[in-house]
Amino acid sequence: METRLQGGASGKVAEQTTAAPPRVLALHLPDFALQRVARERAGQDGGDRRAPARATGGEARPLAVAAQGRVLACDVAARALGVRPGDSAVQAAALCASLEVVEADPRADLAALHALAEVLCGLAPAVEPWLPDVLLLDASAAHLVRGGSHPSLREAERALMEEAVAVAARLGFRARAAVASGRAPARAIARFGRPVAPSDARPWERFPAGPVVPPEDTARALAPLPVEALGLGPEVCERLASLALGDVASLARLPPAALAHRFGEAGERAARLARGEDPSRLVPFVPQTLPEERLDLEGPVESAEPLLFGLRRLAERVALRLAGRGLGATKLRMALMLDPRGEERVLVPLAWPTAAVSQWLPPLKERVAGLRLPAAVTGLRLAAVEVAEAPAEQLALGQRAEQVAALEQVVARLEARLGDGALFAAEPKARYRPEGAYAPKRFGAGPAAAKAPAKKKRPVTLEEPGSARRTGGARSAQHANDAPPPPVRPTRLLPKPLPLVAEGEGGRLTALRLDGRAHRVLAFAGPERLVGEWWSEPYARDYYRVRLDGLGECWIYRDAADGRLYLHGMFD
Amino acid sequence: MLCATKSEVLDRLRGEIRRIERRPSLRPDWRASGLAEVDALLPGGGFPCGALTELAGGPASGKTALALAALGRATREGALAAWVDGRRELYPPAAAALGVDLARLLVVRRPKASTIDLLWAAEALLASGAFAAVAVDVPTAGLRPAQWDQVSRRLVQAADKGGALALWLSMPGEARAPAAARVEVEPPGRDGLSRVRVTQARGMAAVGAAVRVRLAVAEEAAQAA
Repeated sequence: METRLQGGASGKVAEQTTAAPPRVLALHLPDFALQRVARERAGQDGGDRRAPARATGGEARPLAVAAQGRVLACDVAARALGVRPGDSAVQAAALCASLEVVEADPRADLAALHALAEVLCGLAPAVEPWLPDVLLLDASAAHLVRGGSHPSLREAERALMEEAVAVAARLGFRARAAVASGRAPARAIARFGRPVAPSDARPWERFPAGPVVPPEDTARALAPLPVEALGLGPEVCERLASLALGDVASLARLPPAALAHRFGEAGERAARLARGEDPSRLVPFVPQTLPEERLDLEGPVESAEPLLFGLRRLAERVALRLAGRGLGATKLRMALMLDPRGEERVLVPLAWPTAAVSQWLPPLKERVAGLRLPAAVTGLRLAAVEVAEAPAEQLALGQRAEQVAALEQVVARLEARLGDGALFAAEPKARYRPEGAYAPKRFGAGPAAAKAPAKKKRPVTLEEPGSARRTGGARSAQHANDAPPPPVRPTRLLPKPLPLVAEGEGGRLTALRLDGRAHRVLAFAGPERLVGEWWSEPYARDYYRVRLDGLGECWIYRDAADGRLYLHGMFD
Repeated sequence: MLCATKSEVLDRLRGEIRRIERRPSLRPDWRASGLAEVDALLPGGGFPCGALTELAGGPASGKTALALAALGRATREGALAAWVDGRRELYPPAAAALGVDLARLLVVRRPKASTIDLLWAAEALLASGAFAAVAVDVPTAGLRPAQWDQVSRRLVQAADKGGALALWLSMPGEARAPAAARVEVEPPGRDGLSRVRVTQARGMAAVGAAVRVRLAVAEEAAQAA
């Protein structure tokens, strides 16, 4: 069952003209459609993100992504053979016979961008996708990255930028980044900025991951960029180009009133952006669905090892996305696409909410090892179908890290083999019905429950049958406030009470027959009357603690509904 | 006397090897049951850790209370305990009354699980090293002798590997476990006291020593909490 989260990702921007522009980290993913395809095609070689080697001669085929017959992007191998973005697909195929052309899939690209945004949510207070290939991160909390203690704010922003680029790389994406004041300036510098020679680099351009532009240098950083870098729209850019206004510097030199007069609101906005003034705030991305990742295998696979390798990579991606949202998975769904068609789906419950891959892998391995597939596998999907907030501390174990890891692993393995609900901790419930006096809960979930208070037990003296006095009078459970200390309960409670036959002599109970065998009654105490739940499943029972010869102390009751005696528990 | 000394030396060596192999050295070699009269019967003053102890007795003899007393002591010390409930009869409120911290007690119970699955779970829990005490209450009637031999050996190895207190609860007529210690519990008589007898124990000179003790209500455990 898939859990959906509320919220929406809006493309609208709320402008605040008086506030200072926010510090924004922009992450540009060049040729994103191509990167997405190459990443999904990544095979079993452990790290090559390019399109995997094909059957032809064992060398990677050049790859291009096309839409409506035109090449949108192509890889290095295709460029070396003369293919360029904008070429017709036919022309590109003529240049390169082995070229593999993949049709663009904007929906898949959007899903991949959102997936990366989810992961980056763990680095910044807000993340905003700027379609088709840029992610904006709120850099206001950069000082907290890597545990804090940065010598300056610029160093903190540099650390944030490096972390974001590293996260993208872990997920298989190459990225360029920039930090600047304002959404549009940061995006423009990340997307359109070009590497600068070290001798010409300004101080904020000397970081390997990208420039960290101080607020006062925003306009200078934007100056050499083309006007389309400001995100003005193709029509406005065309009109500006017709006026020989090809770069941001020439736009910034024009009087703002003139631009506003000529281009209206678009001109006014262009003038502000050219000066580096963009006070608009990020619109945070809110994930709509739970994370799912997919991997296409190079060829049909029939053995477990390559499947496990692929599952591990998918698990790392899904876990990162959940971790970015502060969530942990409580159930995973693994789907194996079969050759030529069909799929096998397996649900894998987890012991407790976690985004730690080390805890996902043992139950996943158990399930894969136990699969008997009707055909070879051509692809994998892994989704977190049930999630919960991952608490910071599950249980105050007071144990070493390796013991905690051992606990998590063994619980995950047992859950995988025995199924959901087979492992639990008991939580006491305030119910008088004995079988309802506790309920199962997830072991280790939340802080250790308050221990049931150790009740000082008054030893119950069982009287021999026939004695005149009885200890423990009949009492209704509904009048327990002034009752004596709670009586002892048996250590074993039968899942289903067993009927007993009473044997008596002269009005005295002398034996109880169970499974055809009579057991002499040595002593008994009671009754303890338990009555209740008239609104749902009413019950009325008189319980006795009876010591039977050769058996021990048993907990029996007479059911008011049918008047019969039942064995319910044993004081073992 | 000489044999008892040799056994004690062997036990100490096992403890040293376990420590050298970086097994959970925080765990002791013995763990008290919480009932002074029973602990006095056992060498080391308690049940051995890293080895199987069989608690044998009828369905209402008091062996479960004895096992819960030992698990309760472990949980009150902050450790984790597990109960593999193959008979599906463990009543947690009674365990709590005997001093068990229910938040630290993992119960394994599955109505349709096979005996082999439950014993596999017991082996995994024992070998994990994450639990200080594991009680296994699984009926073995459906197992063939050869199966039981194999399974019981694996349980012994798992207990040795994990270093936990391993308690095997058995009913009359069920196969005996290859245990380092065997404690027989007889149901209480007219006086309400159960007879607890140690019939086998590594390093114990006087096998067969017995004591009568009230088990169904472990007042000592309640007072200690």
